[in-house]
Amino acid sequence: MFAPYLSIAVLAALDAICGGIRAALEGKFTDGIFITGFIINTVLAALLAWIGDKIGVDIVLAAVVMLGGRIFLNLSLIRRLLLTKATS
Amino acid sequence: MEHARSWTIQISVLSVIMGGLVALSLKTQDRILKDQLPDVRQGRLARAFVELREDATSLRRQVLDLQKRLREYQLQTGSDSEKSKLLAQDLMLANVLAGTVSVSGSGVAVTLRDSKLAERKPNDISEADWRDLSEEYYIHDRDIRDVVNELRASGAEAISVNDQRVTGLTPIRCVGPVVMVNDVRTAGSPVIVRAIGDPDALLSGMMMTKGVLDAFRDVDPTMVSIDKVKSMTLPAYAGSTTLRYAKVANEVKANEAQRQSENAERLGDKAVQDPQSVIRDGGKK
Repeated sequence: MFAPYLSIAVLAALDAICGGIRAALEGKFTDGIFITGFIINTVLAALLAWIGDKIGVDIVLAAVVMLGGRIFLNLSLIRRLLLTKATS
Repeated sequence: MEHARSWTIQISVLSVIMGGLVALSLKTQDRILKDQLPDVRQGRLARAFVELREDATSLRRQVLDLQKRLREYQLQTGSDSEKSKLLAQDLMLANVLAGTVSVSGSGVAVTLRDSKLAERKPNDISEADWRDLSEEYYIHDRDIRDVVNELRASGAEAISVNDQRVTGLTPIRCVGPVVMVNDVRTAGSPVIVRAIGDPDALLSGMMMTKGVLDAFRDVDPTMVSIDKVKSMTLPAYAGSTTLRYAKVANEVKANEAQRQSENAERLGDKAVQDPQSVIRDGGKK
């Protein structure tokens, strides 16, 4: 019964990691933002999943799409940063 | 450098947590897949149910039609010669006993209904306790079976429950709020049991003190009503009459079975004379 929340948490963690690595490569990493970002994202996504469950709309998809998109965005930025770092 | 270590540690820790979450997620997914019922949509189930029910109704009608035609044939052969007339009469008697023909006659109608007291829950009793206490306000399948049994004991020749003919193989059971008779769902309240036979004998069987209906009279007399009926018609059994396992026994085996039955009767006599002997010998000899 917690399965949707669990998968959301996995996504949120992955997103936080990508975001963290990107921020670190950009030299903008801040302790508080990293951890709170992860926690708040997880809680919000879980809340959406719960509400969606109650009203019968898969709002959880919104969180999944958003988090997934951000993971791809961050990954592409990381790639770019690493490449520019390697070539320079 | 201090700053750099801080982010590697944090990201590493979070990665470990994510690893744990992924493992947990995989495990639950695995369990869900194992537990999951085959994917059936309720709408499709409902449609299938309605279709099957209509099929069942039309098939039952078909059975009745075929039985009617069979009886016409039997009657026709009966009119041919004296011998076949006797045969047809015998056959008709067997049909009446088996419940495969509709029969008319006098008898009684026993109506059982859930007590109205069941709706009036006193405020100072919890929901769970009331469920236990109100049990006796409802008609149960065992009550119907008891009534049917008592009617048979009182000499009923044909019985129907909620207009479903009771045959020698008819199951009567409750499934939720309905009563299944011959695997047909009928109303759980009121349940009307009709029996053809001597009205007075049937009535006295029903009214017997310490009888099947005694308990109801203590709880709520309105749960039961018994009426003598001058003339009524019970429907024929409309279910399947195919036998797959029972075969007519050959003479040797039949005699053996008859001997066993006589033996059992003797044991019964013995039990009446000396009740302790049954416990002592365990009914072996």
